[in-house]
This record gives sequence, structure tokens and C-alpha cells, in this order.
Amino acid sequence: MEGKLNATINEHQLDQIITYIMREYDAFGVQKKNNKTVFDKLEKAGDLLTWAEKPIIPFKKILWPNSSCHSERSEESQRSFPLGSARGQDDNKGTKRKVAFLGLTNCDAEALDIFLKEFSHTDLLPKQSDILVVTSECKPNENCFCTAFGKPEFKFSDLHIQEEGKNFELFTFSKTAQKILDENGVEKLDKKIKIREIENQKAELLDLKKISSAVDDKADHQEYWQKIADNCFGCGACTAVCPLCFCFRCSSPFQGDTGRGLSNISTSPDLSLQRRGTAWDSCYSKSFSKISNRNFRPENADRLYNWYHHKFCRSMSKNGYPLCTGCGRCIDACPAHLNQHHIVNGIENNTNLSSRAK
Amino acid sequence: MQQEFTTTEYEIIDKEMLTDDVALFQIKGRLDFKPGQFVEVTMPHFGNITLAPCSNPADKKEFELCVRAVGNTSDAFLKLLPGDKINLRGPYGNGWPTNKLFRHDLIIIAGGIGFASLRSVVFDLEDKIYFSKVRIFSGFKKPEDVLFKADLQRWQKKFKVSVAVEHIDSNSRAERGMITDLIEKTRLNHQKSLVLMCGPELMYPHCVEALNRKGILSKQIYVSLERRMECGIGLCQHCSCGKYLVCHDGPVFRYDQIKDELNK
Repeated sequence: MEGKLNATINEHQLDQIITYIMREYDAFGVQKKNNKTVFDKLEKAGDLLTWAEKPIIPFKKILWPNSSCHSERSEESQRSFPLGSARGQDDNKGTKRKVAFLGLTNCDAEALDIFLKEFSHTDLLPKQSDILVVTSECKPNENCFCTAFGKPEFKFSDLHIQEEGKNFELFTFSKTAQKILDENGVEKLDKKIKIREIENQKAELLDLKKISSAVDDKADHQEYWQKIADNCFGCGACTAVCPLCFCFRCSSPFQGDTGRGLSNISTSPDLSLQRRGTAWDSCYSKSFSKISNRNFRPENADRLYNWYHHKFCRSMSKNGYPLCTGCGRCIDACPAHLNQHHIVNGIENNTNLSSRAK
Repeated sequence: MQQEFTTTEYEIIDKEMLTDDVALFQIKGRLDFKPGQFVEVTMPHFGNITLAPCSNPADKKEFELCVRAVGNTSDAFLKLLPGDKINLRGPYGNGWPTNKLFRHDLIIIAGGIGFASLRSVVFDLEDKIYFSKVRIFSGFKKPEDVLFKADLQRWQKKFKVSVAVEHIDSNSRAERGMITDLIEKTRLNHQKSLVLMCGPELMYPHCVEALNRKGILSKQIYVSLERRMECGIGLCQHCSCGKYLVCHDGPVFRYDQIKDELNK
């Protein structure tokens, strides 16, 4: 893709820009911790990785934290997580600070865009304009398949960073990003060059309309789903790592519901767990669709089908886009070595049942 | 409109045990709802419970919730007493198509606790003279399970009301059998009929089949679906039913539009 190259800077200048972002925003970035690539609060500019494999747990742990994680964190670390229920940390002046996500791959930036769209009719997450998105070049692994959705378009970020020898090329896509460069005295180039394309993943282009229609036709593919379900452990690892799995439960009370005013029910004195009212859930969980007298998805095949149906049929018919950007985390995380990309690709022809990525 | 998970506190002012495990709670305060919509009541330390208000929607001072104890959360709800406070969110969902009922012969089919959702529709119709052709079929398992007996007796004066009870002794005034038996026995004007049905989902295909045999098409039948609802605003995906989210697109659906999605 052609982009507007705004600047070529050295490592020192990049650190200066990142430090500026950290000062102005609550900044979260891709970094190494304990030899693992993670997406977490940025402590210093040099920690940010601009060309790394994707972290297995994506940005959603920051954007839409799991409440059980919340209750285990110390008070100090909770303050550093500004999103979810708090939606922006208060600074000394009492105003909400904006948030910056740095080092996202293009597919994660697209997933973030979709995630925020899904919640846009609520007040549960910050607005798109409140998040500064800085993408960097992607280092795809063998399970990535973002190119199966078409040629990646770098339109989901404010600023894109790509390494060029010992220097860094900066592409800006928003006024906010341009202002950041201006305020850091970066010399403008205004030269049009191509953003380096994502490495070829040898992924066939998915025909999303055909896939959506095939997934919708459950009766004709009963055997197909059953065979996949026979190999699936139903552990829900794919849902935990997917940046676009946002199913949640409201099992604990919402803020303000402290159980007061109830005469006949004993309530626990520990109300700390009531700080947030939502927790991550997985549609692979047996109880996900269960009500007191009936389970609407009693078998793993029903639950597995629902996962694909949500991503490739329900979302397509409601919004016109799938809830998948091809990051491949579900394939990385699957202990049964199922290849979700091949499963989706094979639905049209009832093939690729036993495909294994590893 | 921005939707939030903000609950409002209400006070229970009366409680009536309708059967051993079903209670009718009278709640103080105004709830602006359409018949068939639902609310999410938060029970601290237990979770959410989804309930359809069952009172007359025209009542501006109070509303009623009917609860059957079937699990931990509803058990806890049933223990509440007048004076207790509850927190609820909503109403959510589309409700019954009350604007389409005019000039139709209405057939209301209610199974068990499903009557709660339809009770507010009948309240709404009671004062309207042009809705004289209303037929109510209700079904319960045992005579002691029959809900809203006083309402049924009152409605008998204006509408045609039939009650079927599966397991019954000979002294009862109700008919032995199922709702489908009542449908089979009754002459229905199939062209003008519109059916509103709420009850256990297992009864729907059987009732629809019986109605189809009477010439009533699936597109004349509206059903309210029972699903696990958590958020109520079309996000959490618990209530998904094929391409629909019951909390957002329902809970009331035209049967011909939902039947293919029921097993997805």
C-alpha cells in the first residue's frame, strides 16, 4: 500500500516520540517480559518492540479486562489499567487521560477497530477517537492468514512504524499523529512510498459470502462439524486468545449492587469482587447457553458450530464483516492442533477435516 | 442512544405465592415497558435473572414480576420479602407486536410460567372493545400449577378461555390434556387469526403443527423465546439463536422467520 512517509528517524528520535506518547497517554505496547512477547503497560520507551511476533494474549486484556484478573491485582496495578469499567485514568486535574496502543500488527489494529465498533452502542469502552493506535511491521508465523481476507490495508492506525536498516520510517494517518511528530521536531519528508507489504502467507483468498452461506446451512454440514468436534477438546483456548472473542457473563453484581436492603438472603461480607460486573466467558463452556431447565447447546459440536457461526455468519449478516482478521492465534493456542483457517476454508467442499498446522 | 449497565433500585411492596414455587411480586415505581419485553434483575452474589413484567403496562405506579424457583438465582429471588430492594435494568427487547393485533382474531397460547409474558397483553386488550374475539389457551402440568386463576375467571366473561391440565383429577373444571388437544377441538378462523405463544420451547413445534392443520400459517404465529440472557443489549452472545440475538432481535419472533434458526 502507498502511504505518506512523514519522516525517517533514528532510534534515539523514536525513543523520544515514544516517551512523549507515554507522557501524554496511558501507553500500552508490545514488549518482552520473561522471554515472552506480551502486550502490557509500557514502562520505558526502549521496551517497545517494533518488529516482533504477536503477543499470544491480544489487546483485549487491556481494553476489556477479565474481572477475575482484576480482583487478583494489587491496588497499584489496578490503577494502571485504565479501560474497561473505568474507561480512562484520572490525572491530577481530574480529567480522563487518553490511551495509546503501540506496536500492534495491522491485523490487530483492524481487530481493535471491529472490537470498538461492536461496543459502539454502549458506554462500556472508550471511543475510537480516544485511542491512539501505533502499528508496526508484522512478523507473521506459519499460522497467520490475514492475507486470506484480502490485501492488508494500513488504515486502522494513526501512525505506522517500519524499520529501515538502523532507522525507522514513520507514516502518519491522522492529524493526531502528525501533531505528535510536529511537537517532537521531527523533520517532515512528505514523500510517497510504499509501506512494506506483509510477508506472503500462501493463504488462499477466502470467499466470505460462500463461507457464510455454507456455515449457515448447518443441516447440510452436520457431519463436517461433528468430525471437527470429535477432535476438539472444547477447552476454549481459541476464545481466550482471539482478539475478537468478547463473549462475557454478568455473573457478579454491577457496581452499586451491594446486596443491601435484602432481609432474607445472607450476603458475603467480602464485596471486593463486585467491583466489576462482567467476566470473560467462552462459548465452548458447557454452561454458556444453559438455563435452569434446558441447555440449548448440550454437545461440543453445537458449541463449536456456534463459534464459527458467530464469526463467519452472524457477524457477516449483521455487519458485513467477519469477526476474524487472520491473526492465527486460535491455531497457535489449540492443544488439539485444529487449524481454524483450514476448517473455514474447507467448509464449502467438506474438506480439510484432518488438516493439522503443526 | 448509549446503553449502559446501569441498574435502578425498586422496592418490593407485596408478594403473593401463586403456587409452591411461583410468586408474584408487586414492585413500587414506574416501569415503562411494552408487553413481552423483559428486565434483568441483579441478585447480589447469585447473578442475573431475566423476567418479563406481567402487569398492566398502563399502570404508572407499580408493576409486577412473576418468578418461578428453578435454580439458585430464582430460589434466592423467591425468598425476597416486601420491603426488600431489587436492582434491575431494562426493559429490553421488542415485545409482542401489539400494533399488528387490530382487526385480527387473537389466539393466545400460554404454557406454564410463559403466561407471565402474555398476561400484560391481555390486560392491554381488556379495555378495548374491538378485541372481543380473543381466545386464550393455557396449559399446566397439574391443577395446583394453574397460575393467575382470578385473572382467568375474570377474562372468561369477555374472552373464550380454555385451560388444559396434563395430570388432573375428575373434580377439576379444567380439561385434561395438553394445549394441542384444545387447539384440535376448537374451530378457528384461520384467515383472520394471529397467534401469540409463550411457554417452554418444546411445546412450540407441536402447537405450530396443530395450528397449521387448522390452516393457520407459521407467519401468523409469534413466539417468545426463552434463552440465557446476560447483558440484554446484544453483546454477550449467550442468547444467540442462529443469526439472531434473542435479547436484541427478540425475544418475540414470527415463527416462520425463526424456525430454521432454533437449532443453531
